[in-house]
Amino acid sequence: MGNNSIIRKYSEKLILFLIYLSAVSTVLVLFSIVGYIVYKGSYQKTSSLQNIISTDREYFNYGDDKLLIITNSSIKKKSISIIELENILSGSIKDWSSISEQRNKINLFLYDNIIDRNNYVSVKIIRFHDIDSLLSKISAVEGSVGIIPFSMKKEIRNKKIKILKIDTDCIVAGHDVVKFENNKKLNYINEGDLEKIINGEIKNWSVIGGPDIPIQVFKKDNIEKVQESRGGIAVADYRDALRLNADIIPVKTVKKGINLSLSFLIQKPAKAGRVGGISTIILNTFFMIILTLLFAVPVGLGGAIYLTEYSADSRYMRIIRLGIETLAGIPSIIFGLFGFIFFVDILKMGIGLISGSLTVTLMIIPVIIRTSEEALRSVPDSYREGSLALGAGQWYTIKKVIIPAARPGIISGIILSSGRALGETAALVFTMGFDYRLAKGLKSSARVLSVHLYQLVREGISFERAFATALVLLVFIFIINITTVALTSGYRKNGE
Amino acid sequence: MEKTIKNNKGKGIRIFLFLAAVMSVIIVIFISFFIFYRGLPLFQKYSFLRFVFSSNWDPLNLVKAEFGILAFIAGTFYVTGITLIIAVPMGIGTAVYMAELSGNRSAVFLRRTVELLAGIPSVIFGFIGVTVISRIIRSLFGGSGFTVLTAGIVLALMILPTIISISEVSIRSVQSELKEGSLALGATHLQTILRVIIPSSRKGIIAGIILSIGRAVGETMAVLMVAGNAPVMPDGVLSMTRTLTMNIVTDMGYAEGDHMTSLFTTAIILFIFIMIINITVNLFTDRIKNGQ
Amino acid sequence: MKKIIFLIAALFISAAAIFAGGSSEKESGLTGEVNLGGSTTVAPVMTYAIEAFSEAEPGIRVSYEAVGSSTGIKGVINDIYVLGGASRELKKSEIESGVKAVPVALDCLVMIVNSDVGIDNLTVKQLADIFTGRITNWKEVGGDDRDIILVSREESSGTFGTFMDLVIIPEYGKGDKIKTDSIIVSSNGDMVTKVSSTPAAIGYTGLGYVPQVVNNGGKAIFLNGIEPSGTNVKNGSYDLSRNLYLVYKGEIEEGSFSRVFLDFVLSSEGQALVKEAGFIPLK
Repeated sequence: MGNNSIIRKYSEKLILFLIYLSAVSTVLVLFSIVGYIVYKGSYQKTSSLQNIISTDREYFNYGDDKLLIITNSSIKKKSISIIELENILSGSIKDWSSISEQRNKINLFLYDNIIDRNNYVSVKIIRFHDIDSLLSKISAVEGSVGIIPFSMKKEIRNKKIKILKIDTDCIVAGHDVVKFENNKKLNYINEGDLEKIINGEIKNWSVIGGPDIPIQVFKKDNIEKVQESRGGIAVADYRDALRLNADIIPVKTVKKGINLSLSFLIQKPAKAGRVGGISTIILNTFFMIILTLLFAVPVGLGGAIYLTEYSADSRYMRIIRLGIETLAGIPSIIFGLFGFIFFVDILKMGIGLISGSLTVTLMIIPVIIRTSEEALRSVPDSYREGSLALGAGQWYTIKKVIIPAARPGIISGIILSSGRALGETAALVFTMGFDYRLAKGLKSSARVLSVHLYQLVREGISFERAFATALVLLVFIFIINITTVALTSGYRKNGE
Repeated sequence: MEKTIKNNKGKGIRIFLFLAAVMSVIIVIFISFFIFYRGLPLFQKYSFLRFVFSSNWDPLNLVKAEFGILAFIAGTFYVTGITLIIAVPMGIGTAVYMAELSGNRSAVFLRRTVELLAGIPSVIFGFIGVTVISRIIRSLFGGSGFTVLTAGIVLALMILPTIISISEVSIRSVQSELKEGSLALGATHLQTILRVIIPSSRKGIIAGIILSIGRAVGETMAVLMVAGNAPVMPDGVLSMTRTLTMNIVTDMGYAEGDHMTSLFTTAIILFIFIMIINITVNLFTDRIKNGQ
Repeated sequence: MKKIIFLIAALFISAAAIFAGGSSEKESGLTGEVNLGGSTTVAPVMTYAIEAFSEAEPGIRVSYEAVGSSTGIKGVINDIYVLGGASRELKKSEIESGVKAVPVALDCLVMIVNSDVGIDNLTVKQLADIFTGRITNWKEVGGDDRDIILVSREESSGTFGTFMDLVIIPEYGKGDKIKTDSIIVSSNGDMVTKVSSTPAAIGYTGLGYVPQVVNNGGKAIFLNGIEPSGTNVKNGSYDLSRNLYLVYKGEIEEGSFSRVFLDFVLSSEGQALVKEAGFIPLK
């Protein structure tokens, strides 16, 4: 008996523990999802492979000239690599978006006759023979780049001009280090390992995944010696390394910083979402939601009014209610498939804003009906009776008495349903399309936030950007949630 | 004269409101008609039994296209099963805590948490699945990490709010006389919960579970991102899978002719499952209403 | 309530006006909306080209839907798309429907693997064996002892078609299929993500995606000991090379959108964009 009660006591404790555990884990799940997205959305750590290492020098040599790069201070980039510079000169980079987060156009201004090579034909280069007019031009034009002799550095007094540092060096290694051997090849060096190699802390290539050869560190620009050596490595000028056909090893660098920035919110996306922000996508999302509500609110609210205020016949009621429940239960992919063939194809609306909004409309009608109905039902009958007793008609009563009384509940239902529309993806992918530019009309393809997030992940464009987008989406959901809670709780207080 | 105008106006409004109310019914009938109309013609060329009982999916084969979706039906059930194993105990436990064991404040806090969880879009769950859960599965069990189990966990998180809120409501609606009676007979609070409260709110809880099965079966984006999408028969929780919804969305963008028809036929099967679930839920809720 | 709605609407309209304001000046006679669509491999080239083209021709709105080569070509045949992107040769039936293809860039199939796979080279024969399920463990090709995880594309993909044409069919003929228990992805980007995040995985993609592979932590491997690179494709030493095409129907009229756009893509500026998108310019 005593034994039994102990067992029972412990099993009770165990069950209680399990109940607590499930409650705690529900909370934990939410907080870890939200926390993870907030963390990754606001802080980023990206690694990339670069041929050019960061040396941050102020000048670079071009033939016999020592040159300085200056830009308008609107450019946030602190340094530029020699490869990027060559691409700017040759015209294959035309705006900053290719090499930084900004979208300004690049205007190139050169002093006098520096970098006088005729193979740069595809870009419009403007030359100034007078340093002051060149400097004033650069201070005036956003995104402009100027190249002047280093000796003229002291001429720069304007605060709107800044010096852009340049990285010209790369890492070259002996041929046997990067040789393809035993089906293996050293593909890159980590930035941290590079330091250790130069310091002599790492003494053999096998430590970092290369062949079993001791490391020999050479002085800068000893490219020919390095190549002939066994296990040699040196820092060298990238252009020389290219010219001498040396084996360049890329360096893996890790960049840390803020992820979701203001510029991400207000810039237009470009290059499939690799650069720029999500401003147009946010606007498209709002357009979609507004259009959807425009269709869904009259139907949903009207339906709810009929169900609460008019319907007397319970036969209809049962069917209507079954219809609403069924509609609410249909998976979004079926709406998507239906919209894709019916709106897009048969009604010839095309993949665009209107098809997408109509598809989502079908999905959120039940949400609006349910929430509005609940709000209307909680209006006390005395309101109705009072108004009717005063001689008002039924519609007048509904319009002037019942709807105003139920308004907070109705609005919160509408907001809730816009949350549903905001999060929808499956029904929109093939009905509203992927175009991330601002929708120009009802038929233009328009990408919304959830689809953008899906595309960023699916196309593997950038997980950092995906996290930032997810954070934006989550913030919207959070706002919607808080608004509904605030509205309904205020409303409940009023009603009581 | 004025009165008839008013009457007409009243009538017009009434008709509009009636139409708005039956709109849902019209939409449901139209969509189901449409899906069946587009999907049924497949059976003129391909036998129904093969469609449902073969797992050979090769819709683009020029010699002989095969449209067996058994693997996807199995995948759907497999994933849903895992989902329920995880979500049901967790959901009911949380609901019991909220309704019976917690103070008012923590119940409100939990309810807000659940509401927020319910509002998170499925694509974010999928994203979390890709970046976190699949990695955990991979480091624990090896393989690709895109498995039935991963999809089940992701879906469990998604349907948890449904189970919790419906169970909580039905636990709360158990009459206090029953509770008090049990307590008066000397049962502890926990015994009362286990022997009286949960059994008498059983129907509501089951309705909630069935409703969440509907959500799990119909979910697309989140599973698409984590289940691997291989059109094979799943042979364990760690194998890749494709569900019915994934099959529709994968090929929808480019399918043509019979292939497109077969996607609608897939949708019919999905639709039938959902209908069965809906009707069951309706029966259950009706019985609860009648019982009270 | 009305006020709030009005305010919100006003806010959006003004915001829209601000965002749309930048591109109001017209430079050429081209106007309207033009839809292009097709291969996901061609998509990056088209995205870059369309963005640059739109800056030069702000009056026209061009969009490209990445729906796969076959769908794109069918779209051109059915007049849904003005131009289609294709990452494979036209089929006989398609040529008979009156479409023609213009090469706009060079590309090669690149085999990509997760970085934990201990190999850097495979032969075409080994590849065919791996993808048809004849080789299932990495140790059979000199790697570590672990099961190979295959990632393949959906069947309408041009990259899938090229892979079949260049790898599977030469070795085993048309009867053989890709092993069914492979992860199926529906875009090159998805391929890159899946392969580089899944240990022991192997897949195939275009040259343009190699930087993305590397940045995601995967790697591109050598084929028959030859590195997939622009130089090796141009000199013919790399085996799995192909052209990327723009497909059109009938004849192209002078001054039409198709003419202007094709000329732009084939110009030195367009070819620079091809290079920026990671593919090999024709010249």
